[in-house]
Amino acid sequence: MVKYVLKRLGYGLITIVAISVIIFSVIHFLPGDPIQIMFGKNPNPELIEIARKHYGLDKPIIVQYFSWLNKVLHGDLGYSIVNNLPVLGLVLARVGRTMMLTLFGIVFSLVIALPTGIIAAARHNTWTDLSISSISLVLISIPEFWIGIAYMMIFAVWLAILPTSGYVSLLVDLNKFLKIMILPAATVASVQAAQTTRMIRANMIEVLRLDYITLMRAAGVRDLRLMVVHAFRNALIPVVTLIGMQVGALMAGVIIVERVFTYPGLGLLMVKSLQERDYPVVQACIMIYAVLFVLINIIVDIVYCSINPKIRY
Amino acid sequence: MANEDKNILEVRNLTTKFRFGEKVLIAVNDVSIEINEKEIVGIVGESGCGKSMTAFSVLGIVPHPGEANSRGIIFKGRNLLKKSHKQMRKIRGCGISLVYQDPLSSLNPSFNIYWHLGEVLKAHRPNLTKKEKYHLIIDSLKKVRILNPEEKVLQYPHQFSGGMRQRVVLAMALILNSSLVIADEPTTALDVTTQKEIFNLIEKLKEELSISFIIISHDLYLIGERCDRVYVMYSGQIVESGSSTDIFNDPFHPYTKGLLDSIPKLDPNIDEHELDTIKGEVQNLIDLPKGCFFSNRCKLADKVCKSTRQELKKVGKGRMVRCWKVKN
Amino acid sequence: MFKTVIKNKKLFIGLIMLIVFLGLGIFAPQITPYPYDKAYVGSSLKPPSNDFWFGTDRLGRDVFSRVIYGTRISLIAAVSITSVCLLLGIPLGLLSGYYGGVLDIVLMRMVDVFFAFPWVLMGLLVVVVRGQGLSSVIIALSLSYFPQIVRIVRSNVLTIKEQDFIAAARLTGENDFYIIFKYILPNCFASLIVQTTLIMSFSILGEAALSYLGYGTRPPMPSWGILLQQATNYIWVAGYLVIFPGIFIIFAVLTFNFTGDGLRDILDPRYKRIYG
Repeated sequence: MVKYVLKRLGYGLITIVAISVIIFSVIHFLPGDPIQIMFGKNPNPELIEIARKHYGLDKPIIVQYFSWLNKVLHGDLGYSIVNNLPVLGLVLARVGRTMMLTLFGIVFSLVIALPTGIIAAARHNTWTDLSISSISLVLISIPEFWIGIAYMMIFAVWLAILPTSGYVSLLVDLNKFLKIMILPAATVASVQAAQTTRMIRANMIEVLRLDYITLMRAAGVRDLRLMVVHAFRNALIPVVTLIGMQVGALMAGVIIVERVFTYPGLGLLMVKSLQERDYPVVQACIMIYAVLFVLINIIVDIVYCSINPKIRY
Repeated sequence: MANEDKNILEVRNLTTKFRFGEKVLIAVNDVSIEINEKEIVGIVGESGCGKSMTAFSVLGIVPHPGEANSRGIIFKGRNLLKKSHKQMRKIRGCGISLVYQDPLSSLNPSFNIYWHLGEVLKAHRPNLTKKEKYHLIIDSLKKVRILNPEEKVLQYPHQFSGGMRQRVVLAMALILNSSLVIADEPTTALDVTTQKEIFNLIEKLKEELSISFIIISHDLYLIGERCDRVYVMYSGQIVESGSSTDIFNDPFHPYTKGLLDSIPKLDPNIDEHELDTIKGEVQNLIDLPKGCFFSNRCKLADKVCKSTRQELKKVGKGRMVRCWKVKN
Repeated sequence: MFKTVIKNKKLFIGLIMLIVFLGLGIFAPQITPYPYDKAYVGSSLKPPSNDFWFGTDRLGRDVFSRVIYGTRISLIAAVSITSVCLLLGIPLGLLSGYYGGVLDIVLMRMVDVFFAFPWVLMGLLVVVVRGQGLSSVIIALSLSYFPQIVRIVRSNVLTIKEQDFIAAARLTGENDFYIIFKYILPNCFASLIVQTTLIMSFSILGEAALSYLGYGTRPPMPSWGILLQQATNYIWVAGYLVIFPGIFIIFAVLTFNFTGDGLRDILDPRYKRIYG
């Protein structure tokens, strides 16, 4: 199993490197000369040359790439064009907040989806099942940002019990922090939960038909135990892989949710910087997202590996 | 030897129906079966004739939307029909056990053998200590002649061969000293040598532990060799029953005859000719014919056969047949 | 076959919704009472009324007309993205699955990298390079989804490749292309058809989201996403601005999801009953 983990880490590294190359090239081949933009109109050609040399933009691309990579590995992500602050600092605080939102969202969604999926499968072909499947189908057809706006309208505008935006650190005011987190997390969770419920339901229905369940039922094992212990374990395995594939969509969703609720996370920073053409920040954000994505995938793979005994032995 | 005075299981007029909207599928059609102590009884028939569903009905695990009704299912003197869900569950695995087909799919791939046997114990005797549990599990594996049970117990199903897995399933059936084991196609997925081993084991267990077996199979030859008595099923009905010697030496029902004739024989005295088959297809269980279910495939069928149904009639000592063409 | 379609309720509803959706898009000019970009001064932010069925937005434009025209944008996005995904994905999947070897490994690694990107990020990247616009959205979303097609086609090919009739065809000397097109491709159709509906619903949601974020279609084009973005500023005063575009998005996506689910029910050999 250790071998497998190492192999996965290796693949992950290669993927990250590939992504960094892509990002670097894309940013590099942008239309518009960043130096010119910096100097605005009527720049002094000599100054431009000096600036170019200073930023190393006169050297061949490969050298630029490696020097960039070198800086990144040392924690220097460049400086924001807009306010000249080191990007690393800007980004670090936000990464934590985005991860927190993502985590809340995932936990919320699992808490809802797992029991719902199991119940729907257990009551297959009854009205309960039908309503659960219909609701999930409708939920995955609704754009995430619309759900966010809808929640905002209901809870923040009509009922006025929750704020529409803002942020307070968890350590400063726990109560307010939770209130702020609820709507964005619920938005992320809604679509995720619907997807996961559908998957679990489908898999559980498959597994509950299998011979080994029938045999255990014939041996007198209680129905509840059959579902939750016997069947679920096997239904879970493909779900874990599928969740892994969904990480991309999940992260995309979080970016959107951050925009809807103006939640000061990495996604919002990225969107804002893009509008302001602050490319070093955009580049850094994308890199971080990519690395996070690869890491999460590796974790999912390892989890999968540990629940599936066929791979372990 | 079978103890004919002690009746372990008696099924009286069992009918199991499945309703699909307007259509009704009759999987088990007025079936009555008896099993005595230390007997091996065979139920034989083609796929889809209702054999498995009979077993499920006795155990009370007919899948939705099936409904099983009967005049009585008497197990060791008590009528199972009168029992609640809870009580039925206690009998499953503990009084009557099931050994299911295809050992490859009978065991949960995510758990090891210890867990499998432990689950059966947990369902009926939740208050055992770890030590007691362990001993019972190892003992049951020894009963089914698995070597080195202490090591094997921690392994996973995919690490075992087919024969070994079937032994594990048998162990699950016996761990709580059931009196009756229903084995549904227990050796269909195994090769001939393993088949023999498993059946030898079954016979030994019958003697050593006084267990009765119901063997369900489509393999006529196997049933003939290993069972004391046989029930032949077709389209959900019992069409013939009797001791295996009687049925195999002198079959009465045309279907049974057809089945026996279609077994290739290694007898130099029989001159070579084409293998006999039963013409036609298995009867659909939804649109049942007015008369005898076998009439559209039977060489002897006449107008009476096709228009009126026949009851099971006694035609000799311990023999019953459902056919207009068979007289006493 | 007509009977099968009717029997399956999901598919039936889905197809009807599809016809409605197409109708709205194609006949938009005939249905809408006002042009979508005409501002009626003095009618800013009016709630739904007889003149303006869905109300007006900040600039006094008729929301109903804008929403209906938005259908066209979604349709164009859906069809384009689906076409690109299939045109790119199917050949790559076929080649990768059939020939295997180094080609397969390299291709799959590349596909994995593309798959790695959350589609919003992809949208961001493409917009950074090409600027805003529907074409950028189409490129971004196609690049995000086509890996899925490659994977599915490839796994289908791998299963079919092992079957005996392929070996038989090869022994009779059929050339590779013939085998791929005549034997393997047709067997992929079932999953491809289902995937097509999925790409379409993904496209509609994706295009709306990207436009909402400001990466997609440029105003005054009435993409549903843009309508919603403009609406968020006014949720306190004009809730209806949020409701209608949202309903249309849901309707469009449900159309494809129902149809897809229904098709899957028919094409998937899991149509067995319990007694099977």
